[in-house]
Amino acid sequence: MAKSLSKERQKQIRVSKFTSFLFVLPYLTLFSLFLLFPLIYGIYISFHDYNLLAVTHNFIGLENYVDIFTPDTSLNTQFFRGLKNTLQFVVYSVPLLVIVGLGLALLLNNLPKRLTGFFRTLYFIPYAISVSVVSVIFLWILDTNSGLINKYIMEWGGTAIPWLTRQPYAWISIVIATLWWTIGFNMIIFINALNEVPDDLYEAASIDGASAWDKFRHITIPTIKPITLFVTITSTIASFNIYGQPHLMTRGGPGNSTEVLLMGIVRRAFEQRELGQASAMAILMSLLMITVSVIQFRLANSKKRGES
Amino acid sequence: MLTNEEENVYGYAVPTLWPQQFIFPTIVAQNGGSLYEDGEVNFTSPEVVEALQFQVDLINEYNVSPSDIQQDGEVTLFLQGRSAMHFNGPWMLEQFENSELNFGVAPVPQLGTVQEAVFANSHNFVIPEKADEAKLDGVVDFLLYVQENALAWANSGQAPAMKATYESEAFQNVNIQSPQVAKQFEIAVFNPKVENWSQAVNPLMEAVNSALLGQKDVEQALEDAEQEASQALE
Amino acid sequence: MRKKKEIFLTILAIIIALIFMVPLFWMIMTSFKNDFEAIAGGLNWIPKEFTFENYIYTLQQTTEVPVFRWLFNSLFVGIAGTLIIVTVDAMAAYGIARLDVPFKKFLFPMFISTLMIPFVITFLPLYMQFSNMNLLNTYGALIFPYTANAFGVFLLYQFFKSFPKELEEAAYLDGANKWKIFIKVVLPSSKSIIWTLAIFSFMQIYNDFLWPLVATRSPEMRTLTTGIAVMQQGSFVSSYGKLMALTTLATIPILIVFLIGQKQLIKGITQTGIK
Repeated sequence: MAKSLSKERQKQIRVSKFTSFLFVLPYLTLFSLFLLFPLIYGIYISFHDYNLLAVTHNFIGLENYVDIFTPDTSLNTQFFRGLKNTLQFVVYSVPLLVIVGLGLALLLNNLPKRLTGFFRTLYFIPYAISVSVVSVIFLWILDTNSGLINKYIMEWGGTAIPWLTRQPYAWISIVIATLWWTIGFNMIIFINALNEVPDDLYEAASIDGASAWDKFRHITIPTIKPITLFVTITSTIASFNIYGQPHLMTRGGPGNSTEVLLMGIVRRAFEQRELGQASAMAILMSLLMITVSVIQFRLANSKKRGES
Repeated sequence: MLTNEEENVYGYAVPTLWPQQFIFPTIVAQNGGSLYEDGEVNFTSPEVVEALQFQVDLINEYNVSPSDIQQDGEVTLFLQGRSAMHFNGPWMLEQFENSELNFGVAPVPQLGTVQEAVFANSHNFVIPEKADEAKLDGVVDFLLYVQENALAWANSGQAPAMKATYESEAFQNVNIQSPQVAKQFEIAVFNPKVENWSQAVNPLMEAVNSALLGQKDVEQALEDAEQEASQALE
Repeated sequence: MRKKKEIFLTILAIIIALIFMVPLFWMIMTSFKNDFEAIAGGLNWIPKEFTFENYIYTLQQTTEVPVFRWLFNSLFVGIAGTLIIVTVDAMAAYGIARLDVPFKKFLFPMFISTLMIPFVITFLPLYMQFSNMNLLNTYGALIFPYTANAFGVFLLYQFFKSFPKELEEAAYLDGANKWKIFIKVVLPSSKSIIWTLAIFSFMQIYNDFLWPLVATRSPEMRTLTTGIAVMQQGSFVSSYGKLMALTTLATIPILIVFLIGQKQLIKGITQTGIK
């Protein structure tokens, strides 16, 4: 077939492909330099005994990974403590991030039309703020002795709650700060999803005498399922990545009960200067995150097949 | 009596995070103890346990400190005039002076049972193994320069490493804290000479934090820390 | 009945709005209290003594709290990063969606699959790369890592794919080349989605914490986000008046961007949700 094209035409095709390629070239370059290469480099480093101050870095194969799984090594202790804490946060925060996001969207959709935009803005504003500002604000509001919340509690006759220095309050504080900060994003996605549900479905149900709750359960929820899945997965990934709030609000405390996995990785890399070990931790963490997302995706889709 | 719980005023607010890195080893040294002995991490020895128990008792038994102090909470209390005594380095001095607080500075008292001592840390100069030989002369020059200009270092609130400097007239006027600190140079105690000791300190500080916040009891906290510190030093 | 429900929901909405706004209000009010009043905490919503001293102090500091420099850094990195992202992603997305790019059946899935890969995998090796070339603590180190993200390519690809072909075909017939078509025909009609990508990217970069924390060392290279964290642990410890002044200053630019670009942002977010 190529033979039947004239040389001229062949040249034209080649030139065209080349100029088209130029469109992709800049991004491809940045992608290769700052994503692809580090990815491979990171895996490479994880196979080495890589201390930042050491002169040589020996290849040690899977030893870092083995150490992580060997009980009673410091790497093992740090990794699994971090993992346990990160998983705790994921479990505490994701259901709330999804449900409260949906709840706020429902609330806004049922308000008089002219008020919706105003409240939507207010609820979304915290999302624009950076994690260090959020942490500083909550650090002060939740101060055990002088914070706003405890002052009110004490005014009303209660005892001060040690928000940042005792469990379960420390987790509660971190979850609340995170909700306040990021719920706007999920809310917006849900608002749009709710708006996409066709009105005639609701109308038909009304004619059949369905209550608001019935409508919600049998029309709304199934229809927004794909979006709910999307929100759950993105919230899970975001929660796995938590770093700023525990670092700034509780310093990983009380004790080390809020030292999340990313904090452990940063400490191992920059305090202990063990880059090989930290890279191994990072790669394991990423694999775990990807696996969790895939499982969530599969679970939700298999359910879909179940109910036709 | 400096403490009056009804008025919410306390004698001494015990910090639960920074600067326990300084306070805790100080009390241990004042108990005549050490954190590292004969090649082993020594967190469960009686002197170390007593040092932690004492601070926990300040909160629970003697009630001179409020409980559940969060990071820098003791600084807040001090600035509010609700904590009478406070341990700190040179970092907060300017802020205290700029506030309306009426305060003074004194040498570290003996909180331990045996002797006077104060834990000290240093800023160090390090020459890497693969350093260029030709640069070593320049390094020596620089070190001499730092020595001769120790007063400039002292002006930032740090302890000068030249005896001549801290015995000088000029040093007495650097600020209100440094001369007090200098009185205790002779009894300064440093970190054990163990490679990567800071990795052992992290679990220790977590233990101090846990015990002070009532999360773990003192012996359990120190045992866990000892195990983790030993792992870290391997 | 309907009225009752609306009133109830409106009141609920107001209560929730208060919950969202109170911390910000408290932050701003505290920034106008002198340190003594700020630290007294308590229930003083409005400062007894309204003062600008915290702002003056913070803005005057040049060595330790080079706020203007931090602001400049955050804005520069944010804008530069955004410009690069928007340009490069638009070109790549258009190429893959519309042009005969060689290997595009391989390139595009490769780009998209990286959306699953968390930053944690690349931030350490990126650190080492920049360190090995002695380029840590530079604007390059702060800007470039963000430009590799495939989100923009994904977003714009969806858009370009559903773009009506007639406009481009008409231009082709008029003898225009690919580049001209891209710039003169396609881009002007894509303003909305590009603004969305721009605002989203800017916000992500401006507010980022971990990477600037790790990639910068000297005070002058820090961004506002990391600078705040440093001050909160440093000489602004317990100086809540000054700390809040700093955070308020840091928040103003991003709030402006946010309020202006809100509509675009919301449009864009909802578009990605529909996968």
